[in-house]
Amino acid sequence: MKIARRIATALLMLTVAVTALHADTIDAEAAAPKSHTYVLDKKSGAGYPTAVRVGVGVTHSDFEVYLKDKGDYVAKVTSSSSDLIAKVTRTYKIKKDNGSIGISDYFGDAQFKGTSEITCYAYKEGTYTLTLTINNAKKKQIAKKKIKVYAGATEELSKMTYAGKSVTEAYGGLLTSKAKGKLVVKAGKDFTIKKIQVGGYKADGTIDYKTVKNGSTITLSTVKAYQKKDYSYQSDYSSYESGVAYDYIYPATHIKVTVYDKKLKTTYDVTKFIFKQ
Amino acid sequence: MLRKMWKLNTIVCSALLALGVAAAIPATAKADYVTDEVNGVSYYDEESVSVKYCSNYYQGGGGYAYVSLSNSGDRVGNVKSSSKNLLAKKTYERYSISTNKNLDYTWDETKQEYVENETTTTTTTYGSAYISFFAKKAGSYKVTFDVIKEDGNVRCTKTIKVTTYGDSGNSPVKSIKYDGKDIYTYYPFTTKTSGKLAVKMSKNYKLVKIEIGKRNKKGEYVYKKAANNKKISLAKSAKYTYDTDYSEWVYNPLFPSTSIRITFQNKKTKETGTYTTSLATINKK
Repeated sequence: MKIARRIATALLMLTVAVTALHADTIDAEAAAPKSHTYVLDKKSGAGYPTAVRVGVGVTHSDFEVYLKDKGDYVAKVTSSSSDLIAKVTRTYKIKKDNGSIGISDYFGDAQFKGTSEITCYAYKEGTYTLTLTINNAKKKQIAKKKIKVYAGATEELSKMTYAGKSVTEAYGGLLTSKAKGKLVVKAGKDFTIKKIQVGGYKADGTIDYKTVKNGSTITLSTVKAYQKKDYSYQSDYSSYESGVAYDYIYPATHIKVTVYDKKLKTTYDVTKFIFKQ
Repeated sequence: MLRKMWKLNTIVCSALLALGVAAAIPATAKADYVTDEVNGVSYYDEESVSVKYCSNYYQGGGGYAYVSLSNSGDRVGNVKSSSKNLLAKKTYERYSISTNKNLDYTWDETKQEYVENETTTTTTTYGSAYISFFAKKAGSYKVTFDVIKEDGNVRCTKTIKVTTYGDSGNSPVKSIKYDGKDIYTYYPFTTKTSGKLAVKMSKNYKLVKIEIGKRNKKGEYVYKKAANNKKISLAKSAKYTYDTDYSEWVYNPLFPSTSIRITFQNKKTKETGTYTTSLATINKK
């Protein structure tokens, strides 16, 4: 018995070692940090976020619940407190039998026949729980799920300045005539900064990113014009290409900050823009 | 704020008049989409943009106007602004390049045989475009653009009226008050479902009319005239449906909005324009 167990353990350790070596081929997605909290409920096939963040007093705080079968719907949304209200504000239903939608970023290959948008409104800062009841077309309950709602400060970045001017307070983008300047970024409450990248457009429409240190001096991009190909075709006797030619009023520099949300435990990018006058 | 990963095309068009408050949330309020079937051009003939607002989405401008061309070979060009205080530029243009190789044979007297010639013809055509705007100062402006034919000649010239907001100094609308307070204080929503609406115009502008819009069952705003300095009632709910053969969208917003559309006239130039804003109420059902 003991020998068998030792062999089993050794085999298991070997499997784990081999798996680790081939992480890139087996399940790279599992190794990459999670950028959202969406999960698929096995029983009902519904897709929903396990946790969301909302701003206090913000009216456009909404998220989607994805419904597997035709006729599935969110029957009820209740909140743990009157300080956080929620309601089903929009439903989307596919009528055609052969139609469906999928969000591969969240759910891989899973397909859905409809969605329900839930809008929240938080009167006060706090941590709340929403309980979602999902019924099928026959009005039978197929799922009852809890969603954690963190109401409070939602800014990933509390501050971003370039050459002393605020980028975060410049809605849309900061317009400046300074070609070079110090870039300083400060994380918002419950967030940490993982990486800062700066980039401008290349002639083919892709962005050339360079990782920079917080507080370092950066140079703004001067590229205003680029072309992005949508479609191209080639044969021996002909070729065809279509796309969009862009020519900005002011050249744009992208400041891409990778942040980690300590409450939702997600990692994602936030981009701000600086325009050179 | 929840981060929307599923990018639906919901650009919220609720322009707020920021009187004495730094940054209003900018948006372009669109007027009618005009179609000139004879010349094959469709465009928005009125736009409003926020002063000094830049956006990567609008290619460095504060808003943009979409122009669609239906004649093959036509192109948008010669974009001109009536003032240096409003920059206007064609910043986005659809293009397509097709190349064809043709083989033809010509008789060569000297060689006494047919010789193969390969000729390549390349055709570039342009389609729809966006004209972006950047307002350096508040005001009312005119932007013109030409629809240029393949042969280089101008087919027609069109005008877009651009007005600005976000700078109380020169905006046509000086103030909008609801129930005695600046409309901005009722952001993001109000529980006062009725109140007196008082619109004051800036020195060089005359108030032509006020219209209040509420959504019908199809989601369209239906406007009714309202008298200035009189009570208006806000929409308490806005349930509507978009139904097609393929799908159905049913809306029941938590914050139904009422649209307030102000038509004004420049006393000197006699030009008219519109400014649209909105007020939201709360509906928990």
